[in-house]
Amino acid sequence: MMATVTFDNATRVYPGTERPAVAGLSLSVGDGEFLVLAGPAGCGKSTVLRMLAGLEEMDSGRVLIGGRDATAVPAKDRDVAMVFQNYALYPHMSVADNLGFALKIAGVPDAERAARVREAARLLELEEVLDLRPQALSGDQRQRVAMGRAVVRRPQVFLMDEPLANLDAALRARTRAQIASLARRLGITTVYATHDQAEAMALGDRVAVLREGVLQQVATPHELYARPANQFVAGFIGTPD
Amino acid sequence: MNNGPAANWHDEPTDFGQLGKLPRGLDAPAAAIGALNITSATTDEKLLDLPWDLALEDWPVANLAALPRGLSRHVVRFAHLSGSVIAIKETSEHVARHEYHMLRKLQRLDVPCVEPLAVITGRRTADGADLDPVLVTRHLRFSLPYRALFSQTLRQPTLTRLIDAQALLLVRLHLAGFYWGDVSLSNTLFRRDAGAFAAYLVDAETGELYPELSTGQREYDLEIARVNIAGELMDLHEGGLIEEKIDPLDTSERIMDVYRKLWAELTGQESFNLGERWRVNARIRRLNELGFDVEEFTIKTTADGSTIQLQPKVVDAGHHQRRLLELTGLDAEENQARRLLNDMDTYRADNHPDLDQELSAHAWLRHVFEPVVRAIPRELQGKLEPAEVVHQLLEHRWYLSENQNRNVPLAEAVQSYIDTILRHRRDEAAILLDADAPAGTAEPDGGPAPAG
Ligand SMILES: Nc1ncnc2c1ncn2[C@@H]1O[C@H](COP(=O)(O)OP(=O)(O)OP(=O)(O)O)[C@@H](O)[C@H]1O
Ligand SMILES: Nc1ncnc2c1ncn2[C@@H]1O[C@H](COP(=O)(O)OP(=O)(O)OP(=O)(O)O)[C@@H](O)[C@H]1O
Ligand SMILES: [Mg+2]
Ligand SMILES: [Mg+2]
Repeated sequence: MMATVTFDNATRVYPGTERPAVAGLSLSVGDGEFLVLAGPAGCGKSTVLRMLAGLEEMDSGRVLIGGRDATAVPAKDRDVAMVFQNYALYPHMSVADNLGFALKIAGVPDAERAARVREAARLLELEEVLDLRPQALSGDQRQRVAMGRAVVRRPQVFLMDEPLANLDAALRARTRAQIASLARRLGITTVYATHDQAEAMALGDRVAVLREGVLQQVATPHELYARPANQFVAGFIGTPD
Repeated sequence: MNNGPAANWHDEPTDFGQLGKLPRGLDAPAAAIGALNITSATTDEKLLDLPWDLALEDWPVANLAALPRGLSRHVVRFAHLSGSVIAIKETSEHVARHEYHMLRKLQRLDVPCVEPLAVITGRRTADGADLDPVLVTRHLRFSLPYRALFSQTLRQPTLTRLIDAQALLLVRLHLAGFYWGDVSLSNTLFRRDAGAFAAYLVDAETGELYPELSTGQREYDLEIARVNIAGELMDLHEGGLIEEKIDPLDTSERIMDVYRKLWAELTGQESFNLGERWRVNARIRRLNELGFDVEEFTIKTTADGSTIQLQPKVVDAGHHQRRLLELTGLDAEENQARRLLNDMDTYRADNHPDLDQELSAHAWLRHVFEPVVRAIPRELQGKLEPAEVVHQLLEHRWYLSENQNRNVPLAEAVQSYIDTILRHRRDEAAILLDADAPAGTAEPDGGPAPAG
């Protein structure tokens, strides 16, 4: 199952505005690639993710998922999973149920649900705690349960919109490392938005830098440092430390 | 006071024109190092007496108010301040400032939400360790988090009202251009107030504000709402806190359904002339059927007609019955009472916009209710209770108006009602009395029964 993603000249103009929030975006994401969309507040990251999820209408252009034109495919039929920014852990439910409840909502049969929960628990090293209540977990484990909620969905593409933005610095650093290793083990195509250049450079196989809705450059972190396409890119990524 | 730490006290103006989230990096005006920094519009110095040098989890019981709270990832506590109660949340500086300004913007837009009081940074323990900044809001009086409401074995009708109130809140937020990003029962407070059931936003951490939202932004909020509410209800189910027969999934679907219908009713463009009051009534009726009340409406007149803005509200069971009794002494069933109260409101808007509700209710009794009751021919009186007669008449009048695309006057409607409904009713009653007649011979239109 190939899950490449391609934006072909995608443009979005919000109702009541004139300047496009995303203007003529053309960008390809490889199968299993971890692509980071980076840029300052308001540059269009969330809009790009929502267009890919089928939640934002496009005024022109196309989006292809796995090589097929998905422009007219409704969100629920797109097999992409948008990871919620905030998660709540439910105190009366076991860790297993906290992981699997979204599958229950989606009508996934019990046996398959249990299998997917076990698989996610194995990947996230949560097997030992599946029967516990969330209170018994450490901060790190809680964060992994939150990630596991997305993992059990097994989509073709993961979309993550600033998942770490509101965490404190220490937890942010640890979770960042976990997301990176998890994504590589899963090999699921991921598009990840962040305003934080350090996060972008640490996580991305490649990083796409946006400015006011216009793609400036897409390249590996190394390439961005070595050969920034323009001053904006150079300024945004700063100098390597 | 002032045995506490030195404090730098100021307010930070809210940029009401700023779109989306609060930009990062534009940091608070130079924070004084080593001092407590209080950003607040209040000047209540008692705020300084609270133990800001302790982590919230270690606050002395004497400072705390033991009131129920919803689920949260941050540490949240309620504390006493000058005879009232405040809510304090430990979080990052950016989140606290974002929420502080966002809540101010929402307040200005008249959206039901908690009131922001202060952002406090620069907290340190006695031995110099840094503590998290806090957001301080005013505790919403009489509000209950859903977990407190649900822990008394919650009956289905109350749950339905809660979900309706939540859907209405989401519609109001979206109409104001607010994308929530974390819709859940935990992030909503519920309050019963004089028969009304109202929902308030409590957590604006992930919110973004624009002049208008795209359909995709609204749909994403709805998806978040559905998943979170289903999860929250499954949790209560698991904990045995709600009736076994309540289905978390069905209930979470309801919010989508109610939201969509409400949105359609409230944003549907409809132009009409001021004379076409029945059109307003038709909308109110549809909202009533959805389970909402319409307490206020405004009509804006433009060159090409008028648009109407309705302000729906969720009320407790039995509210209309009690209200009608209070205002008029009439004792009616809930639905009759709702219909009569609606008519009273329309009557007031048309005839006595300056009278208060009580006085205009009396005028309505004299000029609408009593004349209708008196117009019923003696032989038909006693068929039905007066309140039911008037209720049916109003329904009939509305029905005629809609069919004929005009405002049918009361007198005309009364005559038509008597001729086409009330007399017919008598026939039906007679048939019912004739219970021994073989089936078929009692066809009201006298048609022959099929042989057999
Ligand atoms: N409903 C809307 N109406 C008008 N403008 C909008 C709307 N939604 C987003 N925008 C604008 O579109 C642009 C892109 O917004 P978007 O949320 O995609 O950016 P972002 O990079 O995700 O920003 P952030 O880092 O703040 O999340 C911004 O200028 C924003 O103000
Ligand atoms: N002003 C207030 N009045 C009444 N209750 C409040 C107030 N502020 C907070 N609460 C209670 O505290 C709870 C937690 O607050 P809040 O949702 O802001 O925390 P949070 O940690 O940001 O939550 P989340 O995990 O959803 O991000 C709420 O569910 C509510 O019950
Ligand atoms: Mg964004
Ligand atoms: Mg919350």
